[in-house]
Amino acid sequence: MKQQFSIDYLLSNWNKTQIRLLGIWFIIMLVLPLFIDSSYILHIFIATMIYIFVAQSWNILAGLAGQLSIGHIMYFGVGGYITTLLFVNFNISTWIGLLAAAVGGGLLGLFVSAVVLRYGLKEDYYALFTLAMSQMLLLIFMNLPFAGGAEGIYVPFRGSNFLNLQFESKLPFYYIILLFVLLLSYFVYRLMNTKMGLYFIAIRENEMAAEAIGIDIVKYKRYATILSGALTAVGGGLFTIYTAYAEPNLVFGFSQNFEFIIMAVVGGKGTIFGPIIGTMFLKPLNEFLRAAYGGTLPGLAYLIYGGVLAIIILFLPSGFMGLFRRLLNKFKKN
Amino acid sequence: MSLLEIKDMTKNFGGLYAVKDVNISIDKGEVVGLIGPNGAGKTTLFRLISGFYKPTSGQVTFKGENITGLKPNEICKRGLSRTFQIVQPFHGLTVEQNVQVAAFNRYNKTGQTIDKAKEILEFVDLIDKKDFRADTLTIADRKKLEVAKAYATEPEIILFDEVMSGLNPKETEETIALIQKIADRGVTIFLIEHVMRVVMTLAERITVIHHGEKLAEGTPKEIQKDEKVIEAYLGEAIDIA
Repeated sequence: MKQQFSIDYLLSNWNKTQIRLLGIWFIIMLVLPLFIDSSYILHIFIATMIYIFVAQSWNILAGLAGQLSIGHIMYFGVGGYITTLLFVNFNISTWIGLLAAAVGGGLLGLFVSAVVLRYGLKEDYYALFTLAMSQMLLLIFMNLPFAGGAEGIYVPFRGSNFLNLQFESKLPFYYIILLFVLLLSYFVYRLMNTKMGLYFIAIRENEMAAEAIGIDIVKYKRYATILSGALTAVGGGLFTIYTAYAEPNLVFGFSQNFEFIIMAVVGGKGTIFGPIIGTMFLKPLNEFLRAAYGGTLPGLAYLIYGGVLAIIILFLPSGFMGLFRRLLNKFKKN
Repeated sequence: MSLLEIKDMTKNFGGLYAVKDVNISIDKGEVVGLIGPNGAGKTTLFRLISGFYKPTSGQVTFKGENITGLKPNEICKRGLSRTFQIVQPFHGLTVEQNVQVAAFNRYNKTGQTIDKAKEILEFVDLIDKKDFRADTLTIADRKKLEVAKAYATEPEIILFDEVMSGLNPKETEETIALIQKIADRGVTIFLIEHVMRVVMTLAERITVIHHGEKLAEGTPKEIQKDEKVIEAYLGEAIDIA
């Protein structure tokens, strides 16, 4: 038992270590609302957890499978619109809406991988293509007659109802999104020990060597894109239902797009706990800075936020999880 | 019927022939060496066989099936595996996971592949380092890992591309023994080797290529005496210690 807490064990069972961190984080988040009486702070944590969900979904494609999908917000936006439109126009339960969003995001992923394969797009070209796709979808949704144009769609409140994921207070949504993040992160952990997950990592590490040991890299890249696209779309649905608003410039916007990605990268791309720790640090920081300086000194919040980011990027090349690993290694040597 | 048949294999890179009209036939259970001076087209030939290059013309037949133009993973599935001259480990994975990923070529369950990986790491004498990340290994261990990965796909034939390069004499001896052990288990071996002594020890039959064309073929003894071969290697001392 004691051995299971030795630094050696923590380092050589890195994924299990991260699952322990996930457990600790979950317990903290579980009791946290007991100490919070401000609904604004609760809101920040809900927003943070939605971001974690999306950052984690992106992590499957970019972190595990190594496909730099920098226009990943396209899946988020499509999912957000699908869930919202179904709820607003047809009064369809948000849960079914989220399922439909997953299907929509998965189909978009299938389309993207088909085009990428057809034209053999790799690395920088792949990245730019995903970015172009996200901007194309922004324009398409802005001009769709039933999607509310540039103004977007407001989601009406139809009373507290678990089926619609609408509640008078913030607490139920807080716990639901907490559960979503927990399940997704545990799923990523399990995935990393399956054939599919290990194939993703092999493709990320070395495509040529992956092909040589029998991996159909085209097929597994497609799987990663569909899986990640579907999950990201669910994140988009959760976001628009929670904020009660689907606006094209927001759900397909550059700034939010890069926020997700930066948070996953700062936490540690390709790790289980990275997207959680990265977002837990950056998202509240961003919110508090904006709340503190947004009114008095506009721009200062961004300056500080950007500065913090620059420092992390310069000094933590593999994010917080990389730093944590290095620290453990250091302790081991002493 | 031969296990692997290479017929009139030709690869032309913008007017230059890297490989031209090469014919090689390998029977099941054989250990065949492929030698030739630098730039002779040995690695190109391996790439053509394993699906990493598409031939300009010619055909590869494996177990009676035409596999020309198939993708590397499809060829690996059929039982032809290869190693790389510059080793290609999956850096971010542990040694065990590296072999495990390769074992998924034949098994679908995680448990089965872990057992298989352990068995193979035992076999190549790398089990002590199974939890190390691949990028922390020494060059000799990386070479072993490269062999382990190729073998874990459960191939009928393995193409070894200069597994001994960069190894000291002791490590070379160990690797020769390892390849011999794999051959003893019934796996057919086709190997490119620069160190003559290695080919002479391991191979039952040797094919020599020069400027992309087959120059000679025969037993190690015959090759050592072949005038054309000696001429091709002129200036490069043939070290047959």
